[in-house]
Amino acid sequence: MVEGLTKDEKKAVRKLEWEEKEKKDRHNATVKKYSIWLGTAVVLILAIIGMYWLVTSPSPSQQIAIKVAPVSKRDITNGNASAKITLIEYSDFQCPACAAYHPIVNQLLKTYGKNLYFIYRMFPLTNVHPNSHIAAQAAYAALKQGKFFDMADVLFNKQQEWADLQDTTTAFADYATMLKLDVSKFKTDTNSNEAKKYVNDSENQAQSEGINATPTFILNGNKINNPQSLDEFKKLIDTEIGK
Amino acid sequence: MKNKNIIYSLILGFLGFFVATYLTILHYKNIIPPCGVTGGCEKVLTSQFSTIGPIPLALLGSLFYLAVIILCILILTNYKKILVDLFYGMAAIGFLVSIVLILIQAYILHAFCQYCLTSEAISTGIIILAYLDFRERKVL
Repeated sequence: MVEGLTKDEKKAVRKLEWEEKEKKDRHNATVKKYSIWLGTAVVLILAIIGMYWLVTSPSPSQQIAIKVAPVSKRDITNGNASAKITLIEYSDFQCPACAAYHPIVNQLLKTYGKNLYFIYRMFPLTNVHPNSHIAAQAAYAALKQGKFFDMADVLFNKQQEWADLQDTTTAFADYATMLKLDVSKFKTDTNSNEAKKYVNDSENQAQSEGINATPTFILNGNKINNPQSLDEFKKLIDTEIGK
Repeated sequence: MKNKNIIYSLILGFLGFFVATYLTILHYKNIIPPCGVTGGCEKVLTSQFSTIGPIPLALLGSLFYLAVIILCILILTNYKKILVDLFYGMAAIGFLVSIVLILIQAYILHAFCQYCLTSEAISTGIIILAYLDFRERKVL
């Protein structure tokens, strides 16, 4: 009977066991290698997804790298050209957000005085705001009579009055009268080719720079995320002053 | 442990990959990261030195760290001497590039990007580990 195994049979059994162990070890090694590569690939893919999420989740301290044209003679400016802080605003007179920011901008001008150089760049969003172009032209006409910023105040304050008008001529003429402008010169200038060209050029320039919304603020060369309040805006400017 | 420097290099490779990938995505999205430590990020990341032709330097960095990761894993699982030599070579290249980039930031741009400096520190760590590995393997 098969009580004890012969020496040869014992050897055969040990050999079989050893071969099976070898097979298992090789198999485990292969599994280990595959898992290392698979694990690495998973980690790397997760890393890419994670970084993408990090980059695109909105953060107030991130900025968009935008290169805008430096301040030039064609710009409408307010303040001291050698001020430490330069603030450019791309703005549309018919844009409600711009109207909301206008008093904030005026406050900043008051607060920072000669430390702030403010540039207003027209960017009428003509495809969504039908009167934005003519409003910009009207502001240009006021610029010619030295009252751009006064006209801007009026246009923004009374935005709801003229935004939906079919014809803004009378309304704008009234504003010109309010500001004690030469009204007939104002009307001529508003509809002049010079005004149209200035506004068109401003619009094209903004688009070519990659500006795609109003208001867009460029603080010392960097586009900032629009601050949620006057205080937040002041904090950004103060940080910039401290640099 | 014979391969401990390789394992440490592998870890650094992953870290470097995370940083370089972050910078790569930022570059393609045209976004400047928060930069409270060194302050000069936007100057460095939008400079002419941030790309080689159409290719962002950060992307090359990601590929470099990916190569380090792959080489280290291969050395650990499928050891061949040539892999180790390749690893030493990559480490040296990464370190030299880092030196150049640091010099550019210091002397040409006069601005530092904290994320770039982190990657440069990681590359420096990798070459130190490569050197230690070289010493150890000579002895064995």
